[in-house]
Amino acid sequence: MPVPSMTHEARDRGVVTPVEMMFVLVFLLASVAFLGFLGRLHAAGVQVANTSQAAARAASLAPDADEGRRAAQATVDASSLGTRCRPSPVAELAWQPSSNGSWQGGSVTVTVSCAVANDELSGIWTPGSRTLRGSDTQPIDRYQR
Amino acid sequence: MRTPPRRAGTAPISDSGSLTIMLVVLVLVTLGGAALIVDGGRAMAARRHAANTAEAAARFAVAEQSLASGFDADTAVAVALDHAARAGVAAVDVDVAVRTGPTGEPEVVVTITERRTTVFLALGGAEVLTVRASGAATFVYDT
Repeated sequence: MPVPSMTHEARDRGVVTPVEMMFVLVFLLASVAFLGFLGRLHAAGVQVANTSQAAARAASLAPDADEGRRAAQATVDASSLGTRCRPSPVAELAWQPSSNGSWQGGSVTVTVSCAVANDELSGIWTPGSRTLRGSDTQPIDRYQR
Repeated sequence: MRTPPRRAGTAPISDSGSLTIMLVVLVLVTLGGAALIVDGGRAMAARRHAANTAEAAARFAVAEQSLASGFDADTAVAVALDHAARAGVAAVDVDVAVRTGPTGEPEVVVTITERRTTVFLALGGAEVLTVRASGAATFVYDT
């Protein structure tokens, strides 16, 4: 039985040409860059949330609101956010007094803001920046002195 | 079977669709990765926030107890709910239990449920992620 000769179309079955491969490669690289951007953005968000929790805890251990504000900012300054944020990260403190109006027995909320350049997140030159915010609320011990 | 000869002016059909299939696979992989990072990240962040709030509420419930009259379960529940509300968690998502801890002292266990809307998983029908975390604190009165 004679073997039928393969046509050009038959030989091409399932083969991707270099031009098509270029499309796939460009799409693949764009996908990797996109996922990398999302991953770094999430990591930065987690870092901000962790720092806000540590800052709120530090503030809740202070004897008054002014000391709490200083303690929160000192905690943020000591964190690794300083290398990631431009300008430096900022801690804002808000507190709710206890039923008798005092700092002790109330609760303190610290919100940390951090502006991260887009090119640090994407790994390639990208204009602009994103501001990440994280906040945490901690109780203040009523016997805190 | 012999491949039918190609007519002049028509495109070859033998490899048509191979690039499309590859792109579809790549798009699915990209969307899956994005769902893992974005929605997984949102779930992890929600769980961490729930755990932080639960631990703080349990600690507050214990710290607000009177050293004079001792542990009061009703006060503990009210204080834990109050702190959760200050942290932005609705009372319906807070469960407070008072039990006897392993050392025989009263223990406050706060369980918080948080919900987050999804971004990429919504494409698959899962529009809300629900996470739950607990925190406990023990009342120890040391004279």
